[in-house]
Amino acid sequence: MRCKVAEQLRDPFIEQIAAELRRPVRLDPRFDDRVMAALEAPDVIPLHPDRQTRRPWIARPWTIRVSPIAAMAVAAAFVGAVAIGAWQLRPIDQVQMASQPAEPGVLIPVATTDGEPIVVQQFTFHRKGVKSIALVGEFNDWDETATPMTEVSEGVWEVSLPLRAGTYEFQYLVDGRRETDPTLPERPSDFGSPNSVITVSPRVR
Amino acid sequence: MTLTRGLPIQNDSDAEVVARVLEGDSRAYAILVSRYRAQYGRYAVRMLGSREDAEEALQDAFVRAYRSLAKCDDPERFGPWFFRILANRCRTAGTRRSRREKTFVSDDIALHGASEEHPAERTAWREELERALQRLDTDQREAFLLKHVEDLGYDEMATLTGVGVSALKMRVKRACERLRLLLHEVQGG
Repeated sequence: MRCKVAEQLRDPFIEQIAAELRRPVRLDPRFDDRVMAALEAPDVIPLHPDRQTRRPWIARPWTIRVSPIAAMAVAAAFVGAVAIGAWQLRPIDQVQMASQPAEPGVLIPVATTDGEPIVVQQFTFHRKGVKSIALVGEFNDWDETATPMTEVSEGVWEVSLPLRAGTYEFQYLVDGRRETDPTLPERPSDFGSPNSVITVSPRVR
Repeated sequence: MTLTRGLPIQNDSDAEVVARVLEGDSRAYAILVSRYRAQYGRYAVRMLGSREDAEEALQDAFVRAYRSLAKCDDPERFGPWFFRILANRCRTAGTRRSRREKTFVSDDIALHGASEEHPAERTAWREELERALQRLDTDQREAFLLKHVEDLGYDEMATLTGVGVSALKMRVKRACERLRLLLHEVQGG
């Protein structure tokens, strides 16, 4: 990865700056332990779009991994809801969730880990005549291959992601071209095109 | 938790360590953390201007790399692959920070090691340099650090950032000009 040959003559002043910035820095001596501990912490649950069928997202089975504590919390909430006669709740597979009408941006709380709620955020993009659409953003490290969307009906592309509450910048990758969501606010980026901004919050409609 | 004791840090190649982790020996990942922490930690500190922000980005990058390890196509080049993840994290963190009010906090850790003949002047110079670096636009700072501190070639920088070579050259040029201007202002003023 190192450059083999200087690609341009170096200015002594710039070289002086570079030499200073190459000095080593000291990190927290417990940094390695912190990283290894973080590997075991729960994070975003990987959900993948169902590529085998074109069923609406709400009709697809979802596999959701939750920690025992989160599962107990969900179970307790469910028992509580039943106890107060919340018979309107509809079961979806093994995990009880408050399902809402399919609309862009619907938020479904599914679990709570280390005090931070995780919600399923649905992204919907309308575009006919394209071959592929993917989601790129802060939630997937702008990885163009991590979050492909599924065309659930002609021109309607969807994907749902479990995310922690917060604000995320993202773009749609439409046949390789970056586009923003016209229904959401935008922010300028340092890299040319603006980003769409979505706020994910743990509210239930 | 003692993570690296007894682990053959020097002997195992990156590919061998990655294979061990993928086979279920998650503790072996500590070897990679230990191997790349200092080199890429320096980049994160320079890019973000504070040790705390840098450690957060570095930790986040290591966690993301761990969870995506199966996607590392060339485990022997884990370092460059990880660097790409880290650069993305630093870019995101830098973008967020640029929206906040910029208040430079001198990082005594990042600047540690003042010595030599005139320690006071030397420390002052380092602080001014850090301050000037943080006043660059994020993309210019990134390009400058990759080129002049990490010693990457423009092709490598293009692969890492997804930005074209011409644009990167322009960013480096502008970063150099701005640093020269900012630091000459200090020295002259």
